[in-house]
Amino acid sequence: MARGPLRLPSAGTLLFASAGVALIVALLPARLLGWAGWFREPLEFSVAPVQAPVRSMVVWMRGADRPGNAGASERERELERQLAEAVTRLLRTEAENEMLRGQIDVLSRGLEATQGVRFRTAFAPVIGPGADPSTGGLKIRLGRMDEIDESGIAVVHGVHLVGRVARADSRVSWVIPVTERGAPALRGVVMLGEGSAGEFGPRCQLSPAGDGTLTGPLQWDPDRPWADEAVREGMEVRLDDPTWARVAQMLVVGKVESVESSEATPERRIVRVRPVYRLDRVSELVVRMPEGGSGETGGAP
Amino acid sequence: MNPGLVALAGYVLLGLGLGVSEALQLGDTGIAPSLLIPLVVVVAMRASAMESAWTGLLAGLAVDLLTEVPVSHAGGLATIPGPNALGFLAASQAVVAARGVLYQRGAFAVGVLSALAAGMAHLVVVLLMTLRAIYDKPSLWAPWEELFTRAGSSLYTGLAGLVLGFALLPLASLAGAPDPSRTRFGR
Repeated sequence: MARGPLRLPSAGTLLFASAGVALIVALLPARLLGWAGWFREPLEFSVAPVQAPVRSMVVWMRGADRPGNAGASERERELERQLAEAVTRLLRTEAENEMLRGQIDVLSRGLEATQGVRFRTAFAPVIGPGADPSTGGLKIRLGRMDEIDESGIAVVHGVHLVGRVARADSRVSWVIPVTERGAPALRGVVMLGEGSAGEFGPRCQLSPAGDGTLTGPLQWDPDRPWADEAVREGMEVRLDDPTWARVAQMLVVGKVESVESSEATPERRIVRVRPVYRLDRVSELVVRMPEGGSGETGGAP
Repeated sequence: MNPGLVALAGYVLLGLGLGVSEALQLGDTGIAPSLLIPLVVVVAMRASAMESAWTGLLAGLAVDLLTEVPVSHAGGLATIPGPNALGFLAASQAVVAARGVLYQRGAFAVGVLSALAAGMAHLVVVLLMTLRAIYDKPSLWAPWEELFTRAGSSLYTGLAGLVLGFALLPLASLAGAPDPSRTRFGR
């Protein structure tokens, strides 16, 4: 029996079928959508030649986001950065000492000394945000081909925490700034006193407020009941969260913008912390990759 | 309408939109314009309903694939193809339905229709994402917050449409879709 010619579906049928598939896919649980990344990556790669120069031009027109001494030379800025890095290393060592003391108290036998935190760094130009501005995340031009993975910590200007690498594709990665809506809460420690060289103050559990700041209650320390009263505007807050990698400990989260009493429980004090740099507007950041044991976490107990 | 020229315009506007969205964002509100919506609107004003629908679907799919949605408190992200594709498709068909009653078809019309189309697209996205949030736990989706932010973005897109209209309307004529009101039997 002779068969008729093969009939292709009409454009209308195809459109209807495509819309149906889109509806089904749109309602699939997120855990079943890992394959979408196969298509996302080439598209991101192909759009980057237009996106990156436009963004560079925007950053150039807006001027670099440089707080502090605006008239400082490049050499002075480099010295400032090195000083900040040195202070961070010192504080991390102190935090580790505190952690070790706590462990020594708990364990009856001696502990092997904690090795110094080793990491390698990689500069990453920020390509930009996603296509839908209401959902956050920074796309950076570094990926698995550059040995970047989800254990990476993004920083800006040496020691200022930006966030974790949430996803690493072969050529690009996504960083979720700690101030982004939906970013997980983190634990910080307020540095009492002037600048970076203050002593450890009370800890605080900080969540993104949605306006570029982090907010949360100060933790009352029964050994130092005066500590949360000593917190003032402008004091530095550093990361002290055991759920973060050790390379992230004691990085600068931001500065205290305000301290207020909680409306529900007036004896509790709520601190608002603003990062020194606008995390959604950085043009370049540095990814710190832990060396040896990427999943190792740390922080003072 | 020449699909190659539309695709090229879409590619450039997509990259341009990604590059300038932060600069155009109003403070920390998340309110920013979409530069792709005015293109979808111009195509829907000038091309056939079928061409408009395909343009909307594909432009929305591109937005979906370039959007990472936070899905867990641990910082997990997911790409969800579909919501914007369907939203842009609905937006294009809304413009096709409205184009018959347009009194004028200049840049001002592109601006007004862009605001309406963006509103339609965002409404569909919010509906679908809210539906997902019912069963896809944990969810960080805040429907009311999104709705207000996206309503602002829709108005802002109207403004972007007004500006882009001056460039896109001549481009549509170049792409083989002249203004129907200027043809002999056009409405």
